[in-house]
Amino acid sequence: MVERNSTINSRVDNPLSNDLRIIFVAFVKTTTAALCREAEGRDEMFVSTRWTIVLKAGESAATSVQSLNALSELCRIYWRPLYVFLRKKGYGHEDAQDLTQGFFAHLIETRGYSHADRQKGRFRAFLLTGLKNFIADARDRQHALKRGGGIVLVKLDDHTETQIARATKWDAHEVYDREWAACLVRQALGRLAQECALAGKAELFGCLMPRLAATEDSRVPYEEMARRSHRAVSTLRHDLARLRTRYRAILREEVRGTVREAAEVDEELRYLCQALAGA
Amino acid sequence: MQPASPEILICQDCGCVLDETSNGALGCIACLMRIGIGGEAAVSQDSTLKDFERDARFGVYEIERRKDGSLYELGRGAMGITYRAIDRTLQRKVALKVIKLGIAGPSVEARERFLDEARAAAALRHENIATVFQFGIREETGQCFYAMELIDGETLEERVLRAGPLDVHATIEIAQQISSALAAAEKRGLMHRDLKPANLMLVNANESEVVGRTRNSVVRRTRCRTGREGKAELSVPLVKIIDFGLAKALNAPVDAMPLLSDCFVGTPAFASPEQFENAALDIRSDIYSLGATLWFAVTGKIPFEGHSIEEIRRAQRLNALPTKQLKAAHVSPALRSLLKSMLVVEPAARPRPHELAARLQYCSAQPKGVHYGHLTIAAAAILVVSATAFLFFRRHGGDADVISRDPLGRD
Repeated sequence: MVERNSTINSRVDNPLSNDLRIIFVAFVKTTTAALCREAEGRDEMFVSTRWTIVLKAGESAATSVQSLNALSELCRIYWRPLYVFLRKKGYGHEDAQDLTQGFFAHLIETRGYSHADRQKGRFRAFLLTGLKNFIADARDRQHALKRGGGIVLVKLDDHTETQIARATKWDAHEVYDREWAACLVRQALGRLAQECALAGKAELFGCLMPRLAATEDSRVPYEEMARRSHRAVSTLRHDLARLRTRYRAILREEVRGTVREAAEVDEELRYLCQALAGA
Repeated sequence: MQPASPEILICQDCGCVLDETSNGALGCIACLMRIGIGGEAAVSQDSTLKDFERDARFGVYEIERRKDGSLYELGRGAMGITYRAIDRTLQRKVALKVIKLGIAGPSVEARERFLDEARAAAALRHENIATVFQFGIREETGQCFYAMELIDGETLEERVLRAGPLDVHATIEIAQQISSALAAAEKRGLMHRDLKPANLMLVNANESEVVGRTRNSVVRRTRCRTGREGKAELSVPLVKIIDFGLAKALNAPVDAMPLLSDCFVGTPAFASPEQFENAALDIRSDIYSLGATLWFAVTGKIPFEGHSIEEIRRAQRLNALPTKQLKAAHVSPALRSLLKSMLVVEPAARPRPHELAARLQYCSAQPKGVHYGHLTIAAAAILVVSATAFLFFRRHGGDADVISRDPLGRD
């Protein structure tokens, strides 16, 4: 939700062009209308995972609004890893931003997702390979740069460039994997925050979230938290346990959305953990 | 998270540098990602948790509840959660450790291996090792658990963090108790594998009588009180090692530890160099961990720090031990030498438990309560005073003769 807001704000602030805004608005209107008609099928969509729908759309002759929406949502979420990858490849700030947006526009215009490999089925690998092909094709790139992205405009915070400059240990691929993992975590935490807010527990979430990953109970300052939140220590312990359980389920759902088979979730999580620990 | 430098934040759990994951504000991405690992069986933990909370029974053990109805949790670690429970058959209070789903492995073979290792660990009886009553697997959920004696006290880690480092005498006493336990374990071919301050329970004095310490022994221990800065607490309580053999039991299956690479088991700051190498381990690995633990007890610091497992590993091999920390803590040369020998990289150069016991005995025989720095200063002071007195009396002794002669002369 936070990212969605920042996206909207960035459209207002971003001087790229009115064309982009018009394309974006048109796209949103189209998909919204279609989604209203298909409201009943939306839950099913998330159950069957967005990636599966994109793969199915690639097989069908007509472009499904539903799959386009799923793809654009995935692009919105995973925009940043691609951008960071390009920056680590030596592209300047503006070029990297334009290329990323251009790539997504190109992907949807040309129905590039129809080339997705059903056997491998990793959205992470699919996007990176697609981006590499895209930047290797200068003609397509020029085309994309003229048209712009129009679907996803993500405002990068000021800290991003500093972080990219500081990540000297890793090459572009490693940074891409790390960013991918961070996106999944951010997405899961965002959903968890939203659920807590709906339940009227936003404040409690803010208090417990920093301790979500604590493996040692002794490192959680329950006493201090209890004073601040006016809750018993034992209650806080259970709150944290429940929050962790729910976060875990959401994170797995997010990862499930990027792989084809449920059995691949653990494998993908382990891969990303190793990428993060590869320092 | 702790600041390692003005710029760098590190994760205390996994050692990852947080700012370079480009998401320092979120916390440790690796730890947050790792929460999700654990097979589909663990995904249903929501419902499992509800069942678990409704009927918190594990065989004959029933987890106790607090006044607000929540389960009586004693502690939480990487492997599982420890609860206070009651054995309904014997009406005995126990500490019940419930292993996290997915850690002991989902397969029947993995569970069998867990039970085999657990049985071996449970067979080990020693006054300084928390007695394990029973290991088991909860059929409804497949969760492994074990019940051990309930110890009223705090861990060495908690003590040091709460009240500061221990004095040298208390540290030696604790070391003697642990080395005795390690010697017993070595005879049975067992080792702990995750010896650290958080796995050493300091038993409350009253409790030590309850668990069967001899009267004399308790009295001897309770008489030892620290004189440091008015901390009127027991400085040398009975020590009990907890989770003995559990690390091995849980590490044996290939799919047992959903941790990062190579199924590393242990706590990096206290792990031996050979643990990082995935090499064959024996009791000397525990000796290294004990050395690091004693170092922490007496200084409040760990000998080799690092932002990641790799940095700690490199520091162990390349850096000299920061012995200034020991000198600042007034550790005697004999104990300094012993700690250094326990922390050498090569396992063969470390003392075995019986040699360790002998050297600790020597260390404990050294004068108590007098710091070596003070002894040196005192000796120097005596020397200076003696020399001054000698010179004074020599000179003034001559004058006295003159003075005494004058009256005589006048006489």
